[in-house]
Amino acid sequence: MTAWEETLSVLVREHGQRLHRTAYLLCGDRHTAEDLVQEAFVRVLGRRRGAAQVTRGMEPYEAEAYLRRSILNLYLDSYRRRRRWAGIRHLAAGRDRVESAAARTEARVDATRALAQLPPQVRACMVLHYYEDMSVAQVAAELELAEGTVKRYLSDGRAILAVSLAEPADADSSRGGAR
Amino acid sequence: MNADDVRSVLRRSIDEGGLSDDGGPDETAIARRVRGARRRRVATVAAASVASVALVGVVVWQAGRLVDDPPPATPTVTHQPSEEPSTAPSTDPSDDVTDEPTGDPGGDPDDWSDAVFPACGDAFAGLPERTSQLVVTEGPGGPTPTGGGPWLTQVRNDGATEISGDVAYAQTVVVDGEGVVVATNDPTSDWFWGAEGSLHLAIAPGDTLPFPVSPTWRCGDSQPLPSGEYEAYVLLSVGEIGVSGPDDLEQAQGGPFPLLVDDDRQPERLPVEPPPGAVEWTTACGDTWSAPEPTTGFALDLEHEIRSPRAASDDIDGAAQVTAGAPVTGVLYNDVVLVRDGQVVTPPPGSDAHVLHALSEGSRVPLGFTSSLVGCDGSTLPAGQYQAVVLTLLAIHDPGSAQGAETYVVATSDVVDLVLT
Repeated sequence: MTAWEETLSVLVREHGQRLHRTAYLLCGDRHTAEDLVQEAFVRVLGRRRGAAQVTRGMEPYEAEAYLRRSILNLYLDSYRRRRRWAGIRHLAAGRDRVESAAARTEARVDATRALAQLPPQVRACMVLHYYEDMSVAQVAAELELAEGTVKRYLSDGRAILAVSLAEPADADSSRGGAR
Repeated sequence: MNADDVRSVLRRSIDEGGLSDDGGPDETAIARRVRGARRRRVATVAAASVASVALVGVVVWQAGRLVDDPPPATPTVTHQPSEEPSTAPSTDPSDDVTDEPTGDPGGDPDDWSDAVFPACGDAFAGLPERTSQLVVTEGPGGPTPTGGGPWLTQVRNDGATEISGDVAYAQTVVVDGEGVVVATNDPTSDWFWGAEGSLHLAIAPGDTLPFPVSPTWRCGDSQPLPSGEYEAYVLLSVGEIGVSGPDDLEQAQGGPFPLLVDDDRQPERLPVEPPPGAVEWTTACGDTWSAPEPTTGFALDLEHEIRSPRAASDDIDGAAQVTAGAPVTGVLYNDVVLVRDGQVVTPPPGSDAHVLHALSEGSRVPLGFTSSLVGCDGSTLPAGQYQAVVLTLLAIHDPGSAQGAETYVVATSDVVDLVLT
């Protein structure tokens, strides 16, 4: 077993479950979460410098933070890509998968659907602060935002969740969301 | 809603997703992807290295040398592009391959333009006065569909040396009548940086090659560029693998070109043709094998033979060089085809290994070849006697075809016997 494989094994064993859950809370889809986690490992261990850093000079908790940041970046980048893709997708074939993914989202249940109402940056702040138990300052540093912005996002996020979860069931039914 | 309420929502979401009693991500799947990425990276770094050798005074960086598809149980492995099974202890082969510049880069090339990266809203007065060695010479020549593309430009090498390298960032800059940037890629976005070698140029002195320009997006709302009259600049930034920003790049430039966008036009196949003598490749897994015989003048040189016998779990992972027998623009890649009892038994390779190439005649580029030795259904091939051949394939994008591209064989290796144990 090579050095990176040993490192991978340790990281998956010790941090994999938490990273997987964090990714899921960000994207709201189990398979996408798995993909985010896998891609984060590819980013970190698939490159010489990243792998060398992790295998030789990094404590496990630092490696977890490194991976978590990769997941965050991938999640936020994918959102940007989706925005661009939304603009040009009519120029290309293959829309079926996009639509079926949207259909799957519609079928999801309450809490996950409420989280899906959050804008990506807001959602990232909420997950880091309330799930990862990071302070406002830590969240700000992680996302390269001002602390005031993080506080505003957290406040916005709580308000959006409150409204989403307070919506009457028939509102869901009327838009075909509850099945 | 207070903090405890939010935490409760997050816990419920985890329950809803079925992750409460989940054991975590699949280590095997992660390892497979990491291994694939490391193989591709090493191959790409090697490609950049070999191409750079021809680039005296332009860009010099050094990567690991390519070595043979080694026998199993090689005691010590260094500078090896693959993850071949080995009894070597803990040395990570990929870690020994450097993707960093080594020492003096050989001096900055004199003939590159100063790199520019106009952003949305900038007043862009035009390109720097100093002319680049590589020049982007042509605009669309007619109305384009929504988005302002795709269209085919030409890239000309005005210098005395070959230009060869990976295009890390291809940017189209569209300005309005006031010279304000109204559409472009966002050069500050991470999305546009760090792509590992998805475009590769190798242009001989005095040569001109076609190069496809992609659609672009309007500033502000990221919608496709709508109907209107504009001017466009094309910037091709060539640089080291894994670049992190504009300072690491050299840039080919062209424009302004008149750009007329017409929402009523449909995307069309770009007028890129395969080299004469290429053979269309439509064979699928399970089809009867018929050896293609291209007469393109392309040469495929395997740097080592495919080892036989080998275990079916022992993936083929080797290095090769392809010499262009004619100018070519398209996605170029190698496929290892295994044949048994006259039938093709291997599926085509994954598209993530494919790189768009624009090559002058005589350009020589490294192209790896891999096979995971799985059958049409994705399961490991059974033990037995096979024949193996490496094909160099060229895919040309065609929005009208069912697969989105036409594929041609431009070169083949010899057919060899392969025994899987």
